[in-house]
Amino acid sequence: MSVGDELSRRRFLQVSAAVASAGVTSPLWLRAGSLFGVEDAHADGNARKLLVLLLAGGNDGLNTVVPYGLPEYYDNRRQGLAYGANEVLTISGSKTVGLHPNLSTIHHGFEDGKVAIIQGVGYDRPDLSHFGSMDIWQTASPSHKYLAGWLGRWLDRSPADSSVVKAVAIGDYLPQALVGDTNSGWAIPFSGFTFWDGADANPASAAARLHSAFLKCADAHPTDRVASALLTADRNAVAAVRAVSSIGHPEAPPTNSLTDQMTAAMSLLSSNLGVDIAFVTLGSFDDHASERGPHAQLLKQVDGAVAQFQKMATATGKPQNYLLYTFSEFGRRVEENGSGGTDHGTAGPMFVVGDAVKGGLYGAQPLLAKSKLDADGNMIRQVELRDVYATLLDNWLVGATSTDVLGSVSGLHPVPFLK
Amino acid sequence: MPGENLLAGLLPQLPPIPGVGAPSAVELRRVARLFSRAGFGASKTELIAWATLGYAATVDHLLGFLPANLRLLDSPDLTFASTRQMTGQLNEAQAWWLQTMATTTHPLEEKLTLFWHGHFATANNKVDNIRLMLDQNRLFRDNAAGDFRKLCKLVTSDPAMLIWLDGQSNRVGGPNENYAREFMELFTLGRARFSQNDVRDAARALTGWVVNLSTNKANFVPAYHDNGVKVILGQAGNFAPADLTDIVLDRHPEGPVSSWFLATRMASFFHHPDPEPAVVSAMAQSLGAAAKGPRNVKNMLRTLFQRPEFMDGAGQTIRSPAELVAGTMRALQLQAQAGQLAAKMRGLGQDLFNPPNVGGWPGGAGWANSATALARYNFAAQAAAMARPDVVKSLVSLVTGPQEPVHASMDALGILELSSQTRGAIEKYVASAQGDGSDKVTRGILTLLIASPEYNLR
Repeated sequence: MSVGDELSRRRFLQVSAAVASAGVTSPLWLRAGSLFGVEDAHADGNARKLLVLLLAGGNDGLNTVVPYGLPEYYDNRRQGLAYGANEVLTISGSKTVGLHPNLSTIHHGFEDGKVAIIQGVGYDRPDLSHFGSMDIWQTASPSHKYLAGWLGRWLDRSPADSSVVKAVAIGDYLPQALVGDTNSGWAIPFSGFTFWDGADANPASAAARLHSAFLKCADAHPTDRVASALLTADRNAVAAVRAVSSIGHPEAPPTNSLTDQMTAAMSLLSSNLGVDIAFVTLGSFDDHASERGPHAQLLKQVDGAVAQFQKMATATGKPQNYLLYTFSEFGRRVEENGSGGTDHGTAGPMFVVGDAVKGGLYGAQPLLAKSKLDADGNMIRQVELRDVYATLLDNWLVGATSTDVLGSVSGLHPVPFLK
Repeated sequence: MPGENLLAGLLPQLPPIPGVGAPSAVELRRVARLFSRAGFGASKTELIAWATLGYAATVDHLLGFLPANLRLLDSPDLTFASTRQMTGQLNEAQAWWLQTMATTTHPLEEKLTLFWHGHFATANNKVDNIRLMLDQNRLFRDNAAGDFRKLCKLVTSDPAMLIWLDGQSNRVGGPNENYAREFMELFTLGRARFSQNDVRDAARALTGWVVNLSTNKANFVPAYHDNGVKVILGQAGNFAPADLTDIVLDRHPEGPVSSWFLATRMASFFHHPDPEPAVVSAMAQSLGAAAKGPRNVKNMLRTLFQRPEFMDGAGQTIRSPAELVAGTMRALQLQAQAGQLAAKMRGLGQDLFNPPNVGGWPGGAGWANSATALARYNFAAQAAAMARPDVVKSLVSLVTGPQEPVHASMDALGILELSSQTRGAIEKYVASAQGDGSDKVTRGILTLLIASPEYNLR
């Protein structure tokens, strides 16, 4: 058992004891804020929390941050999909871009100075494959240099502390970003995350004896990569279900909505488990056909997710400690296809939201004229994704630095979107 | 006795073979690995019988099925896909498939059907038509170990696929790249083996298919097809949809890339996720390379099953949720609970007929995280609780002695040996549970064995 494991175990026992002594048996999962008035027992109360929102499938950036000021947006390539200048939510300081009409919360946040829009984020020699591009975004390596995700490498290279767990994904899938070589995040579904055969608070119960035996079966460290992953997952499962039960369960099963997933993510981030990073995924952005209505509905969900994030961050009393950003594996083609949709493209916008954000527009809107596109007819990226990650690593997350995580990357230009 | 349904129709009495003694431990281990990889597991009784016949004969048996559509006598369940009216929709279809996996006398056929479902990954959450999903499932089964070229052409005009990757709205003048890209990237060649221009012109070659939802059939409409010249992988011509498969399989400038690609995918699925290059190479070569000639999947699998790396190598992988659930249903006779168990598949990470995206299930270490590991434990506990009392009793009364329910349960599940870690944990549990009664203790043992690393790795 490593030092980190031992600390985690000790921390877990402290939390369990605190839960028991407080007599906490009622549902708490949906309660925003801290459990015992301790914002974050493992840190100094000013821990930086990061919530990642993945828009999976390739979000149409041109219909998210809409370049209504570029005449090329209205030429014959996008006539069925383009939003009119009168539909767009215009933003202060720009006559070029505005926001999709369903992004009113983000719009309000922008005008309040709490939203940064980073335009044209991507990487060179774009990969139009979902899987190739997603791998680049999640490992922060356009050359596919790493197997581990970039936040997984941050976990690996940050000093151990007393956290029970530092990174979680909401759902039954663990994104590559949170998979490290030696440390990985936990996947926690938003409902039903309990032992089927009963809780194990009483160690003499049959369930507790079985759970202990299950844990003991997994207490080995095989050299085989896959076998090791299985045993690590078994150990994490027991630790995670006990940790989640220590902060409570929903009174009613939440629906499978993005807002509920954001609630779960914020509950974990604001709990006393020492969670620094939470990852939430919204799918269905792969709009090859009949894009307009469904895409607008997805953006409405994104806007609702941001509203839930803001509401719960405010409820903690320390909203300046919470940061949200969005990303997608790529944007989409300028021209629509014959199906009322768009095929795979390249660069797209990112939103960064929080009280610590220095609001405004960063990067630049990629140009749309055919002569300004790449050989495949796609937009040229304006900001490299690692320029965004470097800011998050060096100016937000406390632990490993951008050099530790990204390696020595020449020509890195961190984007100054934080106060 | 649990877990004997496979042999029931084949070797009903298990007659002793004169002059043949018990199989060697090596042969038994090889046969056990073969059944876990090429099928859905087998009980120790079955494994001993097959090992006595020999590994080579067992490979012949597993590969020796006729295509489902050519069999004269068929399991009535297989007609489900074309005739049965469904009320429970997705769950009913999932339960039917799990039952089929658990009871089939052609386990490799079902395993291949599962492979193709993940390879040509299509999800009902977009297709929204379980009838079409079952038609596609039948297409995979009918061509499970046949000609990859033929299968590629059939999938290209499969109605569920035409909906899933927007082929039905791919028309002359407004090509939709979705299927063309994934066909090359995920179904035949792999990433970075083609250009964006290849994608665009392949999409043009594929124009013209529509789905008629009143007949559930695909129709080719010549007026919707682009009759211009397309350039794909350096070949120029007025290509039709079926030509794309031939160009991709026969004309790639780097050689038979598609054979290596399919060999890698099949080795990762049937063998382990980091297959040895020599294994992949041998598999690729046995698939066949003649222009317009067959791509013989059965040959490729036979090559894999005969490789020493497959038979005796150290590499292993995590049993997929379908393997875990169907194998346990088979061992504990839980076919009647298929619907309830199918509902657990999503939490286990493998919602049948709903792969997470067009890339299918990642497999290997991708099956394991804290959420799916908890789901595996919970599945184990639930399956152990579901087992009929007589099945549990048979595990207790088969033999006597304090450790015997452990051995009998291992035999039913086809687990040949336990690590000292697992053995110690189970012994400690058994010692702690002496007051619980034999039924409850045996169910506890089953829970731990079904959740054990030994059972979840293969």
